[in-house]
Amino acid sequence: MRTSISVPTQLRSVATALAASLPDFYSVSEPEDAAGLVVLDGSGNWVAAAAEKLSAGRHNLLVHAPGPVDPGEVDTLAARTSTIVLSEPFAGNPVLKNLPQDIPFGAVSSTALAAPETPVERALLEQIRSLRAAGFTDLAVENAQITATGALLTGEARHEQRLVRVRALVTRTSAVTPHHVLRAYSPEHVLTVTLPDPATAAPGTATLVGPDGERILPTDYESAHRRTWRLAHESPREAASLRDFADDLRVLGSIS
Amino acid sequence: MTGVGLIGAGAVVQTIHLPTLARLSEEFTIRTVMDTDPATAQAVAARVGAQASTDLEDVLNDESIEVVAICSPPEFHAEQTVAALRAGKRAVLCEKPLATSHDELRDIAEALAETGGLLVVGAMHVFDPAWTEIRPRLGELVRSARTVRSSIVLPFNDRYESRASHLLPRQPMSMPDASDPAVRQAFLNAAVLGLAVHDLPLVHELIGRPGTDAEIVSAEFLEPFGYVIGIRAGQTLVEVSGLMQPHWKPLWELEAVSAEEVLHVEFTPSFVPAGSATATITGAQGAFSVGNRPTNGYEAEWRRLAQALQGQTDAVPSSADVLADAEFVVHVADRATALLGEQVPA
Ligand SMILES: NC(=O)c1ccc[n+]([C@@H]2O[C@H](COP(=O)([O-])OP(=O)(O)OC[C@H]3O[C@@H](n4cnc5c(N)ncnc54)[C@H](O)[C@@H]3O)[C@@H](O)[C@H]2O)c1
Repeated sequence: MRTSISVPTQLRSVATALAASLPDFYSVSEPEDAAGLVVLDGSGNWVAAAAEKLSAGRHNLLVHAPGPVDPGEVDTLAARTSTIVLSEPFAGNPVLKNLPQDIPFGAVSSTALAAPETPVERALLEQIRSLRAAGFTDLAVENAQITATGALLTGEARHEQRLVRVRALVTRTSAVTPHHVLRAYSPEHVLTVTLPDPATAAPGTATLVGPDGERILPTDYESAHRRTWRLAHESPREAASLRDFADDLRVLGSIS
Repeated sequence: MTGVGLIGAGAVVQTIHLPTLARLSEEFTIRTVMDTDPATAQAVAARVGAQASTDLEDVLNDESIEVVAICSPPEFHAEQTVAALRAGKRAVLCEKPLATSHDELRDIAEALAETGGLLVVGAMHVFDPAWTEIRPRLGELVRSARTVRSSIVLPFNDRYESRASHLLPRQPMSMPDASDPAVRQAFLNAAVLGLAVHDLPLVHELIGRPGTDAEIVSAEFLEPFGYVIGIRAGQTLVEVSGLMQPHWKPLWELEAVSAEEVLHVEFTPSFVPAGSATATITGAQGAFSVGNRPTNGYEAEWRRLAQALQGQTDAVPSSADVLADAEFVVHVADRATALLGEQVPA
């Protein structure tokens, strides 16, 4: 069954393109009342907008590229509903779903090149989110250096019950399209994950180097947003949790 | 033909300098191999038909030796460099690190000023053909880089050394207990002076040579042997990391990102003559790439020393830059080690 979606003007072209790549699932419609799914722009105070929509009886909500908001408000929202989908530009990349989890990583590094117009705070949040999606959770930041154009963090996270040293570097630049590179190190393995520009369907890649040589994990030519939109239709329960998002916002709050 | 004396004849001489000098046999000839261990001195000297000695004075007093290469352990570098300069040698090629303290650097600076000798530090990436070719194009990346990242992931040296030459037997190294905070500090210091040192001169140039004004903001030791150091120089953030572990794949990168350009350099591993790095600058106009040259920085450092001896003084970095870079290295090592010591273990 096709779901009609309503989108704010600024997301119209993005949403139209996404819906066109899932023609059996979605069609962009007006007015909102007729829509089965309401898309919110994650660049503003999306949490307030979502609360408003809920109060107006709109229960199926998707936040496109959610940015930093107040974590307490996200908790409040999470207590009210479990049907909000977060469509995240990097953390939603399909490559992150099939990473090997049984390797005893001791350190992970993340390097993010962000668009010049992306605030450093948002770029950092996206980085923390992609680390979580790769299995590195409960980040505790020990040292943070923030400038107008970049950030450098060191700290500790958890991966499968083990403590892992974390470092992250963010730079705003127009030189290349935005992307993230994660590298996780264990005594015998190095896992390298690249998360491409979410505006393209260039696949994220994961490469595992170990005692037997090098293995490239399967690639999937689906953008993070398309994957999230597809799953929102196929199996909505797989959506990223608002509570985790609130936790990651608290990590961000501990830095800036 | 320029006569060379080698001081210290361990792994770096056997795997790097002898094969490199063999390729430059029209420029250099090794006259004496000096090592405090007589068996090593003799065995290495015999490989190249040179004299063996256990006495530094033999090299210093031999007038047919114009260039001294200092390849002893780091704690002897400064003292031997000063001795060679003061003995009137035309040039010293000192393996990295040039010095382990600011005091040692002061002595070297004085000796350089008084003798006018030439000093080259064997930080081979400074001489890597790809770095040499990309340098004139760095433009706004120098000083206005927003972030700089030096990242070294390497298998342990034995993977390469044994492919570069037949190594003489060595005393097995005992690994001290890294759970001891003092041992971790010593490891971190050694890692900066021994491994990070390769790229710190390049990092220093990219961030506008702030020397000891650069702030070391974080430092940690990584198991089994590695480090992550955060540096802030004005608005530029620098991450310097290294990790040695048994896995096979080397990845030795240097990256600098400015508002409009990204520099990415990938170096080949040490010891083996695996050719030059590749260096790419990417920006709105596309990418410009150099490298994949058949030779590496080891050969270039000797070649450029030969050119400098023939009067082309700009073939090698100026003494001022060499000293400033070495001050930066010592500063990073000292401050990172002190910072690690201040951290209370959880
Ligand atoms: N550029 C590179 O890629 C590279 C690679 C490895 C080592 N190095 C540098 O080369 C130097 C030597 O390293 P190595 O791996 O050959 O070490 P090594 O331990 O294999 O060899 C050192 C040699 O110096 C001798 N020695 C000790 N004290 C001496 C003294 N006072 N005078 C003369 N000789 C003395 C020892 O007997 C030994 O043979 C170090 O400074 C190291 O940092 C550089």
